[in-house]
Amino acid sequence: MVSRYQPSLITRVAHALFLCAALAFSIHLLQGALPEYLPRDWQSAHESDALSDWKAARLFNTGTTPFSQVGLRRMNEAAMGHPPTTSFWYLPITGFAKGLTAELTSLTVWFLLIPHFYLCLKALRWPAPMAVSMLGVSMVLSTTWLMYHFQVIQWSEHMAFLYVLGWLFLRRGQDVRAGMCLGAAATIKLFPGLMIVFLLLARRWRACFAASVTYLGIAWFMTRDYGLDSWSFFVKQQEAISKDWICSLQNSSLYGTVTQILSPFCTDSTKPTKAATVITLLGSIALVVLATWQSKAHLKRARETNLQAIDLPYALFALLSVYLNAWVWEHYYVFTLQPLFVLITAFGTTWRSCLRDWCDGIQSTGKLILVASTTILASLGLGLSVYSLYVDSWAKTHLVAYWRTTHDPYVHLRAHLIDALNFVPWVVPILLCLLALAVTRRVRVAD
Amino acid sequence: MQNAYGILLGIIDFLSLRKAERQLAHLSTAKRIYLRTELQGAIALMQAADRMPRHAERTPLAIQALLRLTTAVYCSKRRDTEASVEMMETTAAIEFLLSLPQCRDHHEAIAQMRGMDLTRPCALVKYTQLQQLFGALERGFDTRTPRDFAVARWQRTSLLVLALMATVWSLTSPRNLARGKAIYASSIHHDTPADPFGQPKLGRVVDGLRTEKPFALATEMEEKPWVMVDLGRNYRISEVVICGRGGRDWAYNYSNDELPMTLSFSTDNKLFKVVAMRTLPIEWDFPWRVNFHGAAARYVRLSSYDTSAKRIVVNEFEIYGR
Repeated sequence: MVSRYQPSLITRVAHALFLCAALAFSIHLLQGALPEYLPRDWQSAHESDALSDWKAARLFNTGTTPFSQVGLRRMNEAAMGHPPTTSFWYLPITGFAKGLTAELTSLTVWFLLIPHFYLCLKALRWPAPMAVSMLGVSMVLSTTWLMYHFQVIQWSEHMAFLYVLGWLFLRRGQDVRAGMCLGAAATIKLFPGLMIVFLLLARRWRACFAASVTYLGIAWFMTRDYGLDSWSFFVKQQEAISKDWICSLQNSSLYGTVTQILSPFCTDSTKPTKAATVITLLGSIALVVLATWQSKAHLKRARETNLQAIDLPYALFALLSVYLNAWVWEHYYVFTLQPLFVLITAFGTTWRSCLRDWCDGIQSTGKLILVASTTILASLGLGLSVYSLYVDSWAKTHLVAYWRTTHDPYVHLRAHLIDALNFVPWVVPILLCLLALAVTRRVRVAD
Repeated sequence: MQNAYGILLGIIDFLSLRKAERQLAHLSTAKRIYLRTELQGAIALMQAADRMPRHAERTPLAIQALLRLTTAVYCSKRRDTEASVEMMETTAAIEFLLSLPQCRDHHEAIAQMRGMDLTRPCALVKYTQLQQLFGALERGFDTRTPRDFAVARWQRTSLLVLALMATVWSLTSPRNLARGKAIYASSIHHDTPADPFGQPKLGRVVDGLRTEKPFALATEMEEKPWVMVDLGRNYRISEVVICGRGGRDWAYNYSNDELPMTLSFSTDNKLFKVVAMRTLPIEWDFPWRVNFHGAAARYVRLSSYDTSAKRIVVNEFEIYGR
């Protein structure tokens, strides 16, 4: 019998081999990926995303609100896509030059990705968390959507990291800290607001209160200077922005999914229809109700006996908070990382627990087959999601442009396939979360 | 020597599970589950002891772990169906441990436990000896069921088969002949990335990295542009894989200048035979793959045959064969 207390020599050798393989593969991936990121001319960096918030923050103390035509002209921007609270985070560095600000914002994406992976893996007790993090980070760095994130200078990783911190604090019972993280995430963009609703549904009152205080505190601080009108100006601008972007091939939100199913790129009309809006609204409500209903037992368990039972409901709501937003770009995929880890762990633990019970003779063979089938299905779904994350984000635009000139049937089919893969990292994990919640409600899972 | 013995034990355990299976036949399910819980608890205690920074903190925890494990072992030796027993007294546990064959080499450590006050740190007990005793005891203690053995056998057989298949595949699969070979192009566009340090000109096209930069080589817009790999001698080619540009380089990515393209083979760099044609775009993650049945060639050329001005953009050129 091999020792279970101290790892056997075979285990140690396997661990060392895995470390070497992970290191070698990571280096191979980084060799290809890093030249995509650096060196870079930061002075001519893209200005319309996070850097527009930096420009707005520079106007903060000048008495000119960026949420006005005058402010927009001074910033040389056509519109402000982010709420008045976002520029709060740039206030400490308004004195920096554009190049330095752009570099800092984009480089923090790298530096947050590493703890993002490591904290998830450590919390879920994965073996060799350092090696898997190294592998995961290099795989994510070689995706086109993270390159896009880096090029356009966006906030997604910063928010996703706050989601991870919120989850870690919740599963340790540190509700106030969790609330502060989620409240802070909601000040960057509005969609994390659903996570505050989730805290309410989970009856984590202190977390909900802390999130609300954090959000309202920052909102009050910014509104004091920008004025209350800045909010109405922001909302009005969203209508114009949505007209331009909602039907974009890049939009992988629920609205985008419905729009592209009702009027795909190969039809004459790709405008948002009333039917799409109604279906999206009803679909959003149905998904939130279903998620709440499915999470009820887990949330109760998380409150009463096992704090870590919050994992699956949190992952589901984290995905929904993004997917139900009006638009979801490729760089938002970074929000799927924590849910993917939670799902892999949940299905793995369920399978191991069921197999253990079957070996002990307290679980029927029928149930084992059922759980095995679910695990195989989940593995296929998770595999497809990971594959979709790795597909070239620009292939769909490339293929659609080519199809418009040639009308080649193969290109048409392939463009549809690639377009469908755009939604997979959202749709499949959401479905798998619902399935995992249903399965783990009935099967005993070792905590 | 000890390591070699460890490896041998591991291999024996890996291949044969029969002996352990016979020893465990008498345990009831309830008792087995109870024992497993106790064993896991003892292991967790011992691991917690290992993490303690000071000897004085480690020893009492290790003794507690040993007592818990000893109780579980004692319970497993009793041939009744009783699922639980009270934690053994230290004296009773020591007597029991001394009677076990697997503890024969650890009498010194067991003797040190005699008369210990667990509430006080004891400098006399050597922690490493306790660790070894714990290891010896838990290695000889098994809670697996017949189904566990069936699953373990199935898993190990599958692993062996997979490892065997992977070995055979890695030994017999054709290698990338193009890697590091000389590459030529009709012209080089100024946006083509610089040559990698220490590698030959245009080495990025044959460096084994499919995702390097948006592309590794772009020719100028010209009539009938071409890119060619010189393999150095004739090979029997089984597959050619050409990875196109990709990623964010929109200016290039939106056009498909190079289409239609042809792939041709030659043995003398004079007479080229067209072996494949492509009219569809080549994506970064969906390359153009062409299979052959051992066609002989030294020069493999990708060219655009249209009379209008074209540009070839490639990321990687892979040629498999023997």
